Amino acid sequence: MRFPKAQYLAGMQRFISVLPHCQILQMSALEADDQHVVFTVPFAEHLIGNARKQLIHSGVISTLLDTACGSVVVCALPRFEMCPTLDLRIDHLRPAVANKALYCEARVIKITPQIVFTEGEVYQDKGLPVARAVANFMRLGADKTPVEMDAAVFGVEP
Amino acid sequence: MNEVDSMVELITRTQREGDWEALLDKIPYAKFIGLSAQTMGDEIIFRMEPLPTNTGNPILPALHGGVIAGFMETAATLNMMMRLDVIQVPKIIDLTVDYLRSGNMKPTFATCTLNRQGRRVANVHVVAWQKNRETPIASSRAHFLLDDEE
Repeated sequence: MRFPKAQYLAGMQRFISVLPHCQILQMSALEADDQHVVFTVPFAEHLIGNARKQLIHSGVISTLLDTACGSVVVCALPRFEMCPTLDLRIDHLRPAVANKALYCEARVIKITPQIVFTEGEVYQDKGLPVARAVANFMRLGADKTPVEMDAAVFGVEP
Repeated sequence: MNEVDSMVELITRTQREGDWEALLDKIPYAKFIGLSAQTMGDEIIFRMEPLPTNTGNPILPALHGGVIAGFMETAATLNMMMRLDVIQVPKIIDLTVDYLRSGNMKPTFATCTLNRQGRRVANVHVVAWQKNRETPIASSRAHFLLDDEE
């Protein structure tokens, strides 16, 4: 690991706090290290997709998965790199119900010079997954990302 | 009129008159991401406004990939409701999004193709673009469950 766990967590908190869509979802980081992250989104009325059944829209789940998987990539690489999502494949296992927070745990599966493979799981109650996803990211290369970004996210000297 | 009847009424009205507003009012998330729709002959074109809150990367700036996924998924669902006379919101089974270009902060459009409608499952393809259809920003495939018993 590059840093102590607390520094990863602070870094992730900083990272998602500058992403406007994550801010409006009130997303926050609960755990982070160089292998995994856990993010959460509290329930809000505007997240409802099916009003009659009081279910959270699956778009919120997609966003949480995309963000958590993308963020774990940031943690796992030797230094901050821009990594756009190549693809995101989601299985919706059970509905996400209103009035309960969503949690997402994302893990790095494999890092190659070009690609980072990740997977994520969303749940409202631990052990009862709402969705599972596989997301692959393309590495643009450290030279394509300003060194200052690494410093800005993780609070290290460039 | 109970809720199911009013939903059927809304869907029927949208099918008949192309009036999307009342139907979209019932889906808070659709409003949240700035989604609207227009029926043009046999085709439905979905549109998502470049709301500042849809930003994922503030540096580029670019749309959040998750919002693009949410938009395409909502488009697929609504498209099915119109095409199949499904009186409920169909249940999504799985979704694959291929991100082809970064989404600029401008209106995004989407159209859907119902590849196959079985008795229980439907397969929908969605393409999202900004400049023109030939340069899509994302392409997506989704499966939906149709016989969603209560």
